[in-house]
Amino acid sequence: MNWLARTAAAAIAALVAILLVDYAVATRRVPRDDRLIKDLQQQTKVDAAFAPKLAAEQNRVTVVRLDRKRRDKVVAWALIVAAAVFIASSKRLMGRTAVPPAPIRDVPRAPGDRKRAIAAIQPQAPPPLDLGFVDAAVARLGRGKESAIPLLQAIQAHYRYLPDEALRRVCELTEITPAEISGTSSFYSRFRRSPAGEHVVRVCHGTACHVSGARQITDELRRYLAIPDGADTDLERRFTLDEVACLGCCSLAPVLIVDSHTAGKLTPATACEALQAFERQMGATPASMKIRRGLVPEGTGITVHDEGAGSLWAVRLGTVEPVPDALEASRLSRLMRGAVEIRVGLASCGVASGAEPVRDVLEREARQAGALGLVKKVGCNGMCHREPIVEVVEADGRTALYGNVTTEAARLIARRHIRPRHFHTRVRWGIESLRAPALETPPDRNGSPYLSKQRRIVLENCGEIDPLDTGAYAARGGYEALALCLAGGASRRLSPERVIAAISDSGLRGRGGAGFPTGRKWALGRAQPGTVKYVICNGDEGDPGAFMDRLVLESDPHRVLEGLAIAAYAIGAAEGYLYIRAEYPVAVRHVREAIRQAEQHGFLGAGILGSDFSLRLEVREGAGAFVCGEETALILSLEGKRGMPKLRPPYPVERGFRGRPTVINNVETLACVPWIIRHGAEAFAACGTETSKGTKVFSLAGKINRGGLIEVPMGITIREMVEDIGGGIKNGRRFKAVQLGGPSGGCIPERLADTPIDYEALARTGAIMGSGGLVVMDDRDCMVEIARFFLKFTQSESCGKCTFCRIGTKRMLEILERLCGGTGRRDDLQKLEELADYVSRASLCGLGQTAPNPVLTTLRYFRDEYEAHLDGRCPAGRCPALIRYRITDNCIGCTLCAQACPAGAITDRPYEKHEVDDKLCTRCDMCRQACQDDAVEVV
Amino acid sequence: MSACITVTIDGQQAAVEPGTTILEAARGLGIRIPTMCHVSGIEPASSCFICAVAIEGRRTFAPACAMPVAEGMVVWTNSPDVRAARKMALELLLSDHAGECVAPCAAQCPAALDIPGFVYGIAAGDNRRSMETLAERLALPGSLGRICPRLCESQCRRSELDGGLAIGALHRYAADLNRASYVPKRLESTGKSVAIIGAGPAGLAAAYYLLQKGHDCTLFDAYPLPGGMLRYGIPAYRLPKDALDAEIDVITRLGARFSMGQRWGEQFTLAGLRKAHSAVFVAIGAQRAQSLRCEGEEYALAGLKFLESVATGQPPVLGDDVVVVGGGNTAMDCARSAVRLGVQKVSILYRRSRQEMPCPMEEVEGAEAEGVRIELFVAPVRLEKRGSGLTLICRRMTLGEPDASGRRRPVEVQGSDFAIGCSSVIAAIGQSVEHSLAEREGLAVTAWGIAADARTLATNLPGVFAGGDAVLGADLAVRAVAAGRMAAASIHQYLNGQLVTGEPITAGIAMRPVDDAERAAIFRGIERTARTHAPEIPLARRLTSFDEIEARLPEEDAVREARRCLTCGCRKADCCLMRSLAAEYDVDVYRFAGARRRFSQDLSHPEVIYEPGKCIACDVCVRIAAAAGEELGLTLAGRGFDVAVAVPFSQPLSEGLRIAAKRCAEACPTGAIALGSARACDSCALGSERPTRLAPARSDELSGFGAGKLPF
Repeated sequence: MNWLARTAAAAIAALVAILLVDYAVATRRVPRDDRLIKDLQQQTKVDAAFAPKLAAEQNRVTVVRLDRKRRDKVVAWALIVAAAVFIASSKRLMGRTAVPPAPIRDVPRAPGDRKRAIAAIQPQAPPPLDLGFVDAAVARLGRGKESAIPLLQAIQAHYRYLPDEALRRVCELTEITPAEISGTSSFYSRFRRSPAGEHVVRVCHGTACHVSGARQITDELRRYLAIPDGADTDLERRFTLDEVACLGCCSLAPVLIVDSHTAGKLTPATACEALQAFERQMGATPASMKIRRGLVPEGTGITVHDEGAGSLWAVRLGTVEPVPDALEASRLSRLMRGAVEIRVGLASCGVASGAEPVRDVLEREARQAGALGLVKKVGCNGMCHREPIVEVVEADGRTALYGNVTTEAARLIARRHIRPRHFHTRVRWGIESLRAPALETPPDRNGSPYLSKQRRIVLENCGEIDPLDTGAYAARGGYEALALCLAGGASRRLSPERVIAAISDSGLRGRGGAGFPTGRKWALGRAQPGTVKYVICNGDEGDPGAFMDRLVLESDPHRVLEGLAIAAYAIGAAEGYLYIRAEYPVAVRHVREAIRQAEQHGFLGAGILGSDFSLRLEVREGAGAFVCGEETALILSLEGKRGMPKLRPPYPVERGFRGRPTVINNVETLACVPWIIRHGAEAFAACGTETSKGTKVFSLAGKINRGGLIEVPMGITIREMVEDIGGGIKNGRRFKAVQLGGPSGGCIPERLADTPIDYEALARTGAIMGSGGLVVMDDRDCMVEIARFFLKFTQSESCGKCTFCRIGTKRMLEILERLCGGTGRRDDLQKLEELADYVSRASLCGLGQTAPNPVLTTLRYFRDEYEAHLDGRCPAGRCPALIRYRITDNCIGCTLCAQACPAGAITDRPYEKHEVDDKLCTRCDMCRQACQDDAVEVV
Repeated sequence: MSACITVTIDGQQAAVEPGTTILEAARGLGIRIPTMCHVSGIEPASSCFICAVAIEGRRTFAPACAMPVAEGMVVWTNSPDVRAARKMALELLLSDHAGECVAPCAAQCPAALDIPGFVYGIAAGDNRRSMETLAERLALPGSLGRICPRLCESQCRRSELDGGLAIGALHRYAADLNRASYVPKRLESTGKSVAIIGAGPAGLAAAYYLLQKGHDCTLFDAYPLPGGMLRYGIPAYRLPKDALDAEIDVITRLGARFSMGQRWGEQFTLAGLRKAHSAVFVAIGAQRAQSLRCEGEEYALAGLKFLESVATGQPPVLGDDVVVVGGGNTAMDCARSAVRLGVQKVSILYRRSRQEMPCPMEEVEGAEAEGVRIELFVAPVRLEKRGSGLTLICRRMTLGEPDASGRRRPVEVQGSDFAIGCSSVIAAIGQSVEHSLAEREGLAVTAWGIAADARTLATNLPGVFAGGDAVLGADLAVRAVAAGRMAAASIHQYLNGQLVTGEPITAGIAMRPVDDAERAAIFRGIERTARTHAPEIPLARRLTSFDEIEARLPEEDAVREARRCLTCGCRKADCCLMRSLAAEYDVDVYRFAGARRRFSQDLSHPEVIYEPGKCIACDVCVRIAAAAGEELGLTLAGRGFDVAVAVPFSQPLSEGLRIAAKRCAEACPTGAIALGSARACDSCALGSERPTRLAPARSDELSGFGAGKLPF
């Protein structure tokens, strides 16, 4: 409150006092005067002598009363004026309710309170071990050295960590030596050496989540769970908090997964609410939950889909976006139409956004309408920014695409598009719909700018078919390409040579990053001597910010299997592996199921489609090592060893898995193969540029309006992707740069946004095509900090073999951390450049060779920002050590910022201008995001 | 076998069989490519990148140890770019290296004396060996054992535990026992002669080493006796003349010729010496005493002159009341000599605080014990002669901002002048090099003295070298002795017609900073024992005679003290591949200093010692252990920057290596796994001896790793 408001308040008080006194005096005096005059009138009637006295008295009373009225009038006006001044000066005028949302949580922020709260929790000892499981696991998974990682995964799943005793038992029972099991288990980040809590909370720290505040969420969860410093599990061993590189749900950033349940679009507060909801659903209310409940308010903006144990669980958080095209006023007229298919996207991001309850509602309605089987579970069509998505296919082939569907909206969609079989249901729905709000017709999918600029080859089935319906895949031309290779008379069959020629002619290049011509790789594979060869599908998509492989594997697994089968046919392999990240449980499940189905239908297994070609495929899960995306490391990982890349030559195609010729292709590359065989090499080569043919899938994420997975023809410019497909930058901010290709890629500034998507053109900018992560950044993103983020990732993922990668990247990271911390040294930039040069040239594998790219490109295009950091400034206002938060005079005292502050750095004084305590402030930016009056600024 | 492949390495063509690595092909051509993680017979790890070479047409460097040759391959093994990559690889490895090549004491020694080495000799009862170690680096060990300011002792690790080792006393002990009997061998005469101007510590040291190499040496000196400042500048109570004579006697016995009483510019010229001798070493010292630099300075005695006159037995008449101006060694020597000459009242005036005094604190304390009064924050302003006495007008000082030397600059306090009456004033405020003569003879000079290359000590004139105080300005005797040795090495190269590069340089890394966990790892199991002090003569005798104050340590004490040595430093200091390469590539070991491994030790194994902080994660030992069929063996644990070699299941090394320990120690390119025996380097090609820590101070219960538990 300012002085004016204070003066006005004082004046109001004084004036009200005057009025009260006047009133009090009047209430006593008026009846007395009235009685006196009455008496005098009586007496005057008796004796005229009293007349003058009566006149005088009447005169006096009149004067007094008139005086008072006049005074009251003045006082009342003054009161009005004072009130107006008070309201105006305390900013009450704008008509917004600034009443503080009632009582602020009672958070023990002070260290002492926190200590007491933590002390109240009883630490629990880990349970005793029963090694019977190990024996069973060895019997199931085999005794060979290659079983090491599957065994470790099984042991960890069972015990929630890797007990020494269990590992020793493994060594007793198998060929695996103590040195091997110790080395392997300590290499992969998914393996724990200390007992984990009952539930594992994995917070994604991918690029998109990083720029959306994953750090703050982790910090707040640590506070909420009262996890002691330096530990990752709370004292009760209920929750283990794990930071993971990327969960591949970038469009839902920031994301966390509890066990297998996903929650997205989080804020620090809603992250805690999500855990609370989870705990409630698990049914337990241990003492700690009571303690914790004191730490955050009871959830309000959170709904939990509770469908009994084991069901997937989803939270809708924060402000639920209104379904944009739906729920507008219109009437029942469309009831007579009938849909032929209703598709619900149930890939990871759909599920994370709450697609399962939507599906349940649709199924219930369909059941009511007697139209069972109408609702199809499909994968993702890539429009992750609008999940959950429901697409309705009408009888005439037109589609209606609904985004951000809530359960209520789902009911309306069902009522609108399903034509009930029974007359009584039709009448009942008709009557009900009179009261319900109706839906507006959404645009046809081709009318959406998001989809119209795309060209779908890899994703042609994604979001349109049930991923686990072989028939649906076959109905869209699936396994036709494989049949072309195998079935029919010898004259019509495509020989392996012709397959390789077709792939070579199509110009297909490896989509995993380096862009090696696929046809040439296969030809080399075929030319190798020997009868035992292997094909491997590389699904170890580790780039933070990329999730195309996950989506393809989840939404169209048969396509990848077909591609892999054709590759095996081309090179003459009878055995193949799909190496898939363990962070993608849905993908693993779908691929395993798809293999089973394909074997059932004769597309895989012995004597495929009646030919003499046999192929046995197996899924192997990764264990958390980015470097295993590198071919030689991947092979070592499959062999159960530490994934430390080896010098090439020899290339895997000469000597790979088990020392035999091995062809390794990326998921997306393989997904292109059936299309090429089916449509011909020319059709594929017709799309794209001189050296880069076909299409490329990108994960579009970051500060963009429409994010998700997109497939574009090669040659499209970055600007088209950002502005036309992505719909431009969020919140009308300035487009600053895109980060392309993840940690191996680079930052391309806005002024080069007209660069076409082409392997060579992108390489000229210093970035690389990479696996296709495309993170868009606005003017609030600090390029030095982004470089630091990526380098931190590669540094932590370095296998530790090569000197330059192991120590050089560490020193580079230290320099970047110094710069971000404002303690840069004069020669740091020069040292950084020198290190970057040699690290990229003196490392064995792609990880080390490309690790400096984010640094080199940002240094090249944003050197001024580096220099500003040397001067102790962060132009984007992002680096915590170089900025301060301040509350301006715009503050209306609404306390929203104080409630949002996780560090308790803002004391809530309602109606007064707030202040940030610089010492407590963690620069998490929550206050600035919470403020609705632009009263928080960064200085 | 299939046809040969032709490759070009550094311009030379070679035809080799397919599958040959670049390294093998290069060796076949006699081209040396340095390696660290490569061990013949073991599949290459190709991790260290020391063997990086450039292949034409490839952007990246290739590890020569693993890269097979290909037809038409053009390889460059020693281009500037390749050398820069190797240098950076070494710098990066060293930035993550927790250990020290030489012990902190030795690292601090200006003469680079192998202190743990000679101390080990005393502890082991092998005094002769101690003397050899001393003589290797110091020409005048007996003198320096007495007068060295012992920079080493302040660095002793043990000073963080229970008091630093008495290195100086042990030094003297070993030297005194063997001085008379130990004369190094002289090589056959080369017929070349070297003229040395100045028979002080630098000149004597140069002669000592040059004579051993077989060169003839003639020392020219203006004084009647050799020794220079050691004889004429240091009082006998610190360095008895017979001790000095014993050392000079050894040099004489080696064949040195002394041409005494010869003054440069009077009896001989540099040009003349250059004609008559093959090389000249200029070691004239810093002889010019600085005057008081105030009005009446001519009434003051120069400290150096005073000490000289005392040394020659003709002390001047000082009176009853002497004031010494200055705070260095010379000032203390003057004051304490004056006390011994019977002066009643001796005071020292110094213009800064006690902390800023350049001489060792023991000297100050010794002077005070003998009754010398020390006045701080006082500077002379004027000296007046009044009758038979003198009056020194002084001014109070206070400390201001730090100056270039890091000491706080004294600032005058205005109006604080006061007078001191006295019989004599001795000015001991510094000395400088008298180099006008040198300049006249064509030698280049600097602000301090004669200009000479820091490493080779060569001057601008061919065949003329200069060192010691003559180059550095007034400095420590130990530095002068070191300079003499360095000059000898350079002159030897010069006389042999070799390229003059000076003494071979060694790179060395120290742990810095040492954190608490590391300190704990170093001191684990060490018993606390107090430092041994040398016996001193009673104060009464000190006040009246020039007898030496400190006596030699008794044998029992010396052995006990020597056994306190922690034998810091690396067991493989002399055969460490990384260290020798670091010297070869002239690396800056601290260029990329940052987070690093922790120092820790696994002493559980009877044969070898494992220090994970020195590991470069090349996993050679892991593969040797696996190939040897070790039951537990070793494994690489963790990944990335934290990758480390460990024994599975957190077992001690004694469990991990039952068969292959010795082979692992031999193959380890650094000192991470080293033989624990006293002769760690016996087995390696460089074959030198390094002492190990002596057993008694450690208890037996120690096993496993020192700092932090490794996974499994």
